[in-house]
Amino acid sequence: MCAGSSVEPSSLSVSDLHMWVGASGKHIVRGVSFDIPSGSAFGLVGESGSGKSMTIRTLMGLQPRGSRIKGRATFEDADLLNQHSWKARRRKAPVAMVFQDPTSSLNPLLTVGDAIAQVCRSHGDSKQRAARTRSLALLTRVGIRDPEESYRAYPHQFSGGMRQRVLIAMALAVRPRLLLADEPTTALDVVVQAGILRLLDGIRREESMSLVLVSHDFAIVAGMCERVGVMYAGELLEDGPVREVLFRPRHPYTQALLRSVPENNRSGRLPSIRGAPPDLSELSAAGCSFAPRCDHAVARCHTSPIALVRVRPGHAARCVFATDDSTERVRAST
Amino acid sequence: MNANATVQPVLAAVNLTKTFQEPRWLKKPLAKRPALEDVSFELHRGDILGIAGESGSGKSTLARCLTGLERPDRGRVLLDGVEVFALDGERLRRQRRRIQIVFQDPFASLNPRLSVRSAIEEVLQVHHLVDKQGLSARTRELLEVVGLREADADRYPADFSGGQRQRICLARALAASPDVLIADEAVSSLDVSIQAQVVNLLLDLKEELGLAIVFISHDLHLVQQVAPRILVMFAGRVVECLPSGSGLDQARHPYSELLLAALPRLDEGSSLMFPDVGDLGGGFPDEGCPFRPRCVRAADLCAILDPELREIDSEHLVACHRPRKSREMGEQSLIDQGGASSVSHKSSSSER
Repeated sequence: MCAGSSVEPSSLSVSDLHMWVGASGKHIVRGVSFDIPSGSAFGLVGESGSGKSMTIRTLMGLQPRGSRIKGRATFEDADLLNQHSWKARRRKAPVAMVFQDPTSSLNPLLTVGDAIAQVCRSHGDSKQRAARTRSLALLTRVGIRDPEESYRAYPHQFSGGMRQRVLIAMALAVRPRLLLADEPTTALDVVVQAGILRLLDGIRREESMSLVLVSHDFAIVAGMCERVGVMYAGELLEDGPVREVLFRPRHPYTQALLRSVPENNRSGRLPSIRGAPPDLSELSAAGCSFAPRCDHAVARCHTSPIALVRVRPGHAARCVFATDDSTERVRAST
Repeated sequence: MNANATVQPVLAAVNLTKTFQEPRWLKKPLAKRPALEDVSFELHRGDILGIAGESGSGKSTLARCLTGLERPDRGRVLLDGVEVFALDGERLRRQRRRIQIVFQDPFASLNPRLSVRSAIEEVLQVHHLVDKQGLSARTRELLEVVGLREADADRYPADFSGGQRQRICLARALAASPDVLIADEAVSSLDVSIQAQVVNLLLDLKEELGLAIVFISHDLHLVQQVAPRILVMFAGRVVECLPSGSGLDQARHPYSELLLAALPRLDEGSSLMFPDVGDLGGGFPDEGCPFRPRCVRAADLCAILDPELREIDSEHLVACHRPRKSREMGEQSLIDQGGASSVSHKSSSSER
């Protein structure tokens, strides 16, 4: 699926991105790097607090106030981390974002039509009528029936799934080349979720947009993305083609996480990961961040920094055993 | 379950029905359908009943009726054969202690100004379960049961992560020494690795304390993992009751199929697509089967006659005029419709 991605020029390129927040300088994004070719989808999975949302918020320029950033992130030659040229950035690299909670992301005092039209007007359609026409088209595009009536409706009159569709319409109003989606369906139930994912996937393919999808659900990423990165404690522990990572995972964390997903036709106890994710302010710089919870950890896991090891073309894992088949054997026996 | 047939169930719901009154100032009536309609089941000690359905299917209304947070319009809740809503005063309070609930959001269900110790001791004191001397010992014991340390007792909810808070909620529910625990989406807000820990904890409690559990979730795979018997709810009623042992592929109601198809799944080889889940707006029709507008197998009969729950196999009940025939018969499945590539139901959980 991603064959040849190494020769294609990548459109989104993030390299060695770091972020510190707060007065204490909590290091919450710790050297994240990934490249995605134009028009492809990259999934970031991880548990809450792993830094996946912060990573894409940084790309959007929405990092928390007072945070410090290091590293590089470019999209089609536009610098995403440069704070001083919003206008230039808007022109050169239209990026849009869809958030998790459609309820708190919409202004309750604006009709959904006005909310979308507002975005249209600040992105090219300066005439009110043009903005209205385009908003109606966008409402239709995201599968909202009866756009004329919906245009005049307020967010509270909409269900969660409909609100998320409105947010997607607002994002599309920017005519983005890159869409960042931060857990877009987590607040929705499975049936509505399927509809939203179907919509997002269709839009991405038709408009050949690039997509970065943040999710805690491996199965969603498997269905939506070509490549996936697994985040833990602010680092990418493993990344590669989605099928490689999900069906032949090389990092013990990915393996353990995948085992704890409930599946069809199984019952009884679920394999869980002992302990809890680390507190980032207490994390020691040396060693693997997952080592305290890892069943395979040896002495050097706790002492020396672990490099990202290439295990197959385009598939890398940050583990001392990444190229060693023994972890896979252990996994098969459990 | 058959072996238990003569034993009195610890919890039984009989024809529970609840309609929410719409405020008089509301010009447009909200819904004519009740939020909960004729829901009945029995639950034995040490057994788990799974309840699945989408938002608005009445899962939480059921949980609230069972715990007495909501009074059903019709129907009865029996605890060891005693009807809960016929009681009042002290006797009601004693019965209520026996059925406890853990909610979805561990951030909203703990008082941020009460330490873990006070939160748990409050329950013990309200129900006069232990005397003053025994309080701290019992608190320590409860924390141990849910896998927290004694040192945690004097910390506040803000010091804990979501998974740990859910353990505190669980400890608080267990403090009442209940016979029945309702887990209303209790693990839905947790990360998978933590979710697995809490699910295992529930299974242990069932084993060790003989607790009966009603496990409510929208995730059918998770429900199957936990519960030997599943009720699938839609529009406030039970549309299917199936044993989970033989696999979810045995689900026959089109809505159960839809729920299953909508679940993103990890199967190598199947190129995953999200199925077209049909029209979601518009509410339910006033007559006939409530699922009809979204059903691909809907026939004329479905528009007229509301299907009743009937047994189609041992322990397997379906409320549908046209339930899917067994998978072997190769009838076109619901998810083949709408252009979505069919995700094979047969492929097992791949190589994991």
